[in-house]
Formats: sequence, C-alpha cells, structure tokens
Amino acid sequence: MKKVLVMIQENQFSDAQISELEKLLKRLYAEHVSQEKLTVIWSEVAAGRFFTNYAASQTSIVSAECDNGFPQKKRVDYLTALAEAWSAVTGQDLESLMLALVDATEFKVIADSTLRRLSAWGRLRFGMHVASNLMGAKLRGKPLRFSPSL
Amino acid sequence: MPVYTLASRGSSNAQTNKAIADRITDIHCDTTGAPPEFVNVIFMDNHPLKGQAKLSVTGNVRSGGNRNQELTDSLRNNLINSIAEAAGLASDDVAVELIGFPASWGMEGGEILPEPGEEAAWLNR
Repeated sequence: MKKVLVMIQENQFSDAQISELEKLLKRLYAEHVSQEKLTVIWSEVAAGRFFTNYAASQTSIVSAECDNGFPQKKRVDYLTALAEAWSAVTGQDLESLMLALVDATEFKVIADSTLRRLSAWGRLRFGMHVASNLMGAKLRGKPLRFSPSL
Repeated sequence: MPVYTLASRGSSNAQTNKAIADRITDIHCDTTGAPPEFVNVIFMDNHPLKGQAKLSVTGNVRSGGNRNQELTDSLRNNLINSIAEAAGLASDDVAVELIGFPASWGMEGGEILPEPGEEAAWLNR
C-alpha cells in the first residue's frame, strides 16, 4: 500500500471538492504510477498556522509515495497531469500548488518525521487521533481528514 | 519547497506564528539563496514532544546543487537561534531536523523545481 499526504488550509475546499480531488488522486496514481492500493491522508491546517512567502498561505501541498528508482520521465508526466487536473477542480493558480512524487525510502523518512519527534505518549495520542478520524471516515465513506494539531 | 513544520507542546497564536514564520523565511532565503515564494511554514499545536524540546522543527528541503554540509549546518544553527529568539525560548528548547530530497522529485508552478542555486533562471522562465 502506498500513501499520499495532502496538506491544505481548513475550509479551503468544499467537501465535494475534496471528494473529487481524492478520486482524482487515486485515478491519476493508478494511470501514471502504480495499480497498488493508495491511501490518501488529508491534513487541514487551521487559520493562522500556515504561511507562504511571509503571508497567510493559499498553497496546497501534495506528497505521493512511489517505488524507489521510479523513472523521472514518468514522474514528470504524473506531476504535470496532477497539477493540471487539480487546478481544474479547485481553480487554484499553479503557483499555489506544490507537488512531489517521492521514492519510498525518503517518503518514509518524511512521513515518520511527525512521530519521530513525539514522546511515547505523544505517539500513542497521535495514533489515536488518526485512528479515530480514520474510523469516522470509513463509517461515513468519506476521505480521511484531520487537523495536524492535537 | 521548502516545507517547515513546527510542532509545539502547547497552543500557538497567529501573531507569534507569523513572527516565527517570517524569521524562518528570512533565514532560509539568506542562507540558501532560495526565493521567499518557495518557503512554507506550518504550525501544529499540542504535540507531546520527546526530550526537552518545546518546539520541534522539521524542514523538508531540496538537496544537491549548492547545498553542501557546511551550508546545511549553517542553516540548522541559524534556524535554531532565530526561531528561539522569535518564540521567546532558549536555543536548547528548539530542535531542528532537515530532510533533503532531490529537486527533480517536486513541482511548483507546473514546473519541476530547480536545483538549489539555479532559482533565478527558473523564476524568469
């Protein structure tokens, strides 16, 4: 199973847009990267907690995982397709869209960085935070969305 | 890119966050030569951190190009001191981890990111 981490501003997109973007992420990943199961994790950052270029951010950050040694030409094709399709759904300027397709080894280092700096209690608390949101998402059949703050 | 995420033990406020984000942007740009348009800073509250750190910073940055060990060490040390000052903390209370990955894995503005040190030509594309 591979993962995509998405970081957006809280209330930046409607529920319908997020559902559409999640379908888009899975479709383009299957077309360009891998048929492997993909989990999309949405972090929604509250106002006053996300800055770009000295100002409140309008940026969305999408980091997807791929196999080590993934061909660069295919990586560029995937990122280009995702940028165009994402922008079509959200109306975002491409300058406000940061995308990355990261080899699995480096992706794990990045994805684990939040847990790595937490105490044992912190890791448990963060895990429960994600698990409770995951359960709610599965029950409702909706995307997995949560605040990165605890 | 870069993306700096800051985890704090307590709740942060927008004014202090803005001051810290400004200092991080200053330091990153002054030390690496990257443009401020690239710099993202995100705050996460109420994280039970390990050790004595009151503020833990992870920076996902481009590697390669002009980013040698000396520059990376300088960036880390400058970040620790500036963030501590902006947050009203001692330097020992701030932990910084920098994680590098190739610029060619990322895209902004619909274009693959430039190698570190080659931003001017990329911005004028």
